Amino acid sequence: MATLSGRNIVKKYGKDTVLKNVNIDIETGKIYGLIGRNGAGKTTLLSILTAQNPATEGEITLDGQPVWENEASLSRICYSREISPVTLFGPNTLKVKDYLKLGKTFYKNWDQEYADELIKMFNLNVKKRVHKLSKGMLSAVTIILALASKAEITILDEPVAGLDVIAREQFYKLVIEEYANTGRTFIISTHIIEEAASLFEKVIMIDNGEIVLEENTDDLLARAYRVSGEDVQVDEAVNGFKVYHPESVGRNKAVTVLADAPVDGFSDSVQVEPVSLQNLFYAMCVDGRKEA
Amino acid sequence: MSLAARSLTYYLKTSVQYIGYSIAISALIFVEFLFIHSGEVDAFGIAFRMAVSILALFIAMLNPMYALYSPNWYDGNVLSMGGRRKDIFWGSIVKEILFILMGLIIVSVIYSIYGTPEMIPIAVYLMFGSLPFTGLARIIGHKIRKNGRIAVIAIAIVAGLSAAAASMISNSRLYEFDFLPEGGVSMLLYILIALGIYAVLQIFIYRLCSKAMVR
Amino acid sequence: MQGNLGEDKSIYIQISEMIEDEILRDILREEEQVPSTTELSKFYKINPATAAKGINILVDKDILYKKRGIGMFVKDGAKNSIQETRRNSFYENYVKAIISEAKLIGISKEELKKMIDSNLDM
Repeated sequence: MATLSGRNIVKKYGKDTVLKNVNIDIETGKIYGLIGRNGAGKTTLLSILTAQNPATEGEITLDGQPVWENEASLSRICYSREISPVTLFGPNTLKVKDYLKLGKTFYKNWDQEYADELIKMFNLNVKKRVHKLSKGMLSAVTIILALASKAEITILDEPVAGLDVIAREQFYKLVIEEYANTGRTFIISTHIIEEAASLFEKVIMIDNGEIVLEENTDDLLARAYRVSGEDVQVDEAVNGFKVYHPESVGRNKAVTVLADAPVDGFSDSVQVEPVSLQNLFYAMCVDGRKEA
Repeated sequence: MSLAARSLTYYLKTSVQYIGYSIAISALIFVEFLFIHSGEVDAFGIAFRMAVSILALFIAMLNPMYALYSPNWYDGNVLSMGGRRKDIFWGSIVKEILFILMGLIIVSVIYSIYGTPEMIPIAVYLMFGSLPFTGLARIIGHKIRKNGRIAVIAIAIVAGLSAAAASMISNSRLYEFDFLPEGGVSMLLYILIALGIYAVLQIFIYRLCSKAMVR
Repeated sequence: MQGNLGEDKSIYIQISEMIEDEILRDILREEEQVPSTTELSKFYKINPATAAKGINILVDKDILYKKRGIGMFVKDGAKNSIQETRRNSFYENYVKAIISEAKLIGISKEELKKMIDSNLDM
């Protein structure tokens, strides 16, 4: 098992610190979910992990070898960026087929047959220019590039953001199929958590330029609870636990608890329910912010 | 195939592609001139000579223009496909030199066939003369990447116009003053100086390139 | 088609319970092959590792067994053993909840008994 590691990564844009001393270890052979709010630093982190952009401080290694300017590391990674619909620069000015041809030129394990199959599946018009594509088709292009690259570590940035529900299901199934067949590592960043949560073996939660969680999804959810009931009793029951996002209606109170380990039983006087990844994420990230 | 070889393939393909575009545009111009001069004695000859000269000029200009855009445009594509900064650096050099050499060969062959070999040295001066501009344009391109999009557009227009003007002036002077001897030592010196400036500029470009990033 | 997974339990537990349910309902019969982890993960849109975890629970419980190079199969006697386990937890999982709800809404002992008796002609 290989590891893509980032040590003490700091990224500053002028006065803004986008990443604050991030440490991360991606083990190969797993599907990772990178979740965070818009602007939390997901794209910046992925760009730096793949040496597409330089870090202000810190070091990225794959199996102990630096990633920066290193063919041995770079040739094992594909980071299919989210293509912005801005028309002036980058891949936008290319035709879809020319963009995918770039992939064919640069990725040594590129699978053209697979690419063609996916183009058909997503009904993508390859003669169109990238900036003329709809949001959904833009997503399809990044997905096709990522999957057909056949790279050992494949990273997708917000791949489902523009897709409709049917295409999203298609995408999840494609990833599972490809993962089952090849054991490739996938890192999928998303803020649409609910429907993708069950896909992630491990989840990395990033908030405000910091990694707040990096854990096996099942283990994480096994120690997360929503505790509700009468306020006094809830307070008593969750005393000593890490509590997020308390909400009250009248005398009724509900809190999200993230314990250090699964808890056998809270007191009988409160209601205890499991928490979905999305709700846990919400609870952890909403505190200390203005509520909308 | 190594990463260096794969990215070189990309740069070779692009230069061939751009030569193709240049030829296509000159072909259009040829047809246009053929119409303009229709009825004249040597209409075909006039149109042909014009088109080839424009082809030469176009190739000489396309190089710096491409270099100006690159840091903002094409380089990011290479990086986002897992290419390295040094692949961009060497790929661009190969592409730029290959581009003018191909242009030179095509133009020279046409001139030779058409029986105006005296035009060949002018093409040589033009092509090699464009190299320092190309290096300069790449540096400017990197600078505008740092300083925003409006600057990109403004400087692109200014640089494009001045490059065009410079080429025009140098081109017309070549006709008027005839101060450049055909071939020989001074031509070699000219080429060496042009290459020298280009090479020196690469030192700066290498530094800028090593910080390249995807926008 | 997409399977319906709830949020009230870990996904791998739900997977193992669903396979158990299918065995109880004779949708999966003894000595029959169980869907592979890939098939399960595609069907339910879950990570293959999670699906494997669900299957492994059943292997540990002696309900499924592995035929090398072929896949997972339902063990002989699996249905009985599931029934037995579930019988043991029936009170904890179902009866307790009925009683506590009955208390909450004031259904008397006799009324509750009558309700159950009258519907017991299964």
